[in-house]
Amino acid sequence: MSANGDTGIRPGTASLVIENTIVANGDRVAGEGVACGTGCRVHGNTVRANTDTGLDFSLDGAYTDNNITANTLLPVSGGTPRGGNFCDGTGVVAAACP
Amino acid sequence: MSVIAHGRSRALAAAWAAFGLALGADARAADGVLEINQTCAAGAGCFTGDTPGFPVQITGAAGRSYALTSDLFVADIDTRAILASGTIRGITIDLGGFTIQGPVTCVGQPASCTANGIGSGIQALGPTLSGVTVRNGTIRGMGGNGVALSDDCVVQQVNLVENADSGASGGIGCRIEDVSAVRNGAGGIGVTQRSFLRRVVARANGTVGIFASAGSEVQESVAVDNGGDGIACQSGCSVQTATSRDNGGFARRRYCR
Repeated sequence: MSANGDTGIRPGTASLVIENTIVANGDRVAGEGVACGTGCRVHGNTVRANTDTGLDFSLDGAYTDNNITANTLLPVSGGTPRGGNFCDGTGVVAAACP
Repeated sequence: MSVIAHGRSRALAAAWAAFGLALGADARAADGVLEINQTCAAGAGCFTGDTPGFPVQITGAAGRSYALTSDLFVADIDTRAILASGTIRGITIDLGGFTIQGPVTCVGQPASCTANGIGSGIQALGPTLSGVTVRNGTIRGMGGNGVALSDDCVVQQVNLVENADSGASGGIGCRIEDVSAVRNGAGGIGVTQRSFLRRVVARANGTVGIFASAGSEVQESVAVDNGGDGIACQSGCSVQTATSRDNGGFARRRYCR
């Protein structure tokens, strides 16, 4: 998770992130698309071309039905995939990203 | 209210206004709203409790509903345009489509401002103040925040532009709707717990675009080209159908690639 505060959406513990578009964040320093606190749920988002990890879960948390492409570091770090996620040009809907 | 009744009330109000002016009393609009304009703000005061010159001081003694009837111009970065103080719950300040204008300008993505001070456009802070509503206008170029409000605030249809501190800061349980915060020197909009933000646009602000404390909801909002996080919120918050793009620094460069 970036310590520099250049993230698209940074929700805290037990938060919901639903159906957002999160693109190209982190120009000055590397920036995640979403940097979640513990146990947050991420559903139905488009997360693209951010300069760090697309979805970054600090602990626990789950994600479903997200489209996560072309993020610089990883599509996802941590969290539990619960299906319907699409990652980085694999051409398939992957239950697990990456 | 019927047209006739409305007409009568306006006529009566006009008569009362004339009577009041004759006595040197508060300037009231036809519906009882207390008027704020540049002449009274910079001059002798606009109503009971307001001493001469800026800031226009609202103590609640004069009434609960206020409206601008002209733009307000504040010359220096440490002077507030409107200051509410005392024990007040539930007042409304209608900007009437007018602008509160300070001396600051900010440029860039994210914004950098020419100066900063403590002069907010509208300040209503403190434990004895709550439920302040600000709507329908623009606050630009203030040395401090555009608006700085306590708990249960409401900000609707307001543009907050190039203020040296944040565009808006609010307390617990605020409601921010149809508000834009553009090129403010610090954050765009920041609110405390259990606040609700909808159709907010935060663009090119110096730090975080939208910040909401625990238990808040952010809906249908846009954070673009801000210097820090696009949307940051604490535990138990919800961010839904928002767009967060090109936040975190020198975003303009991205369009040149």
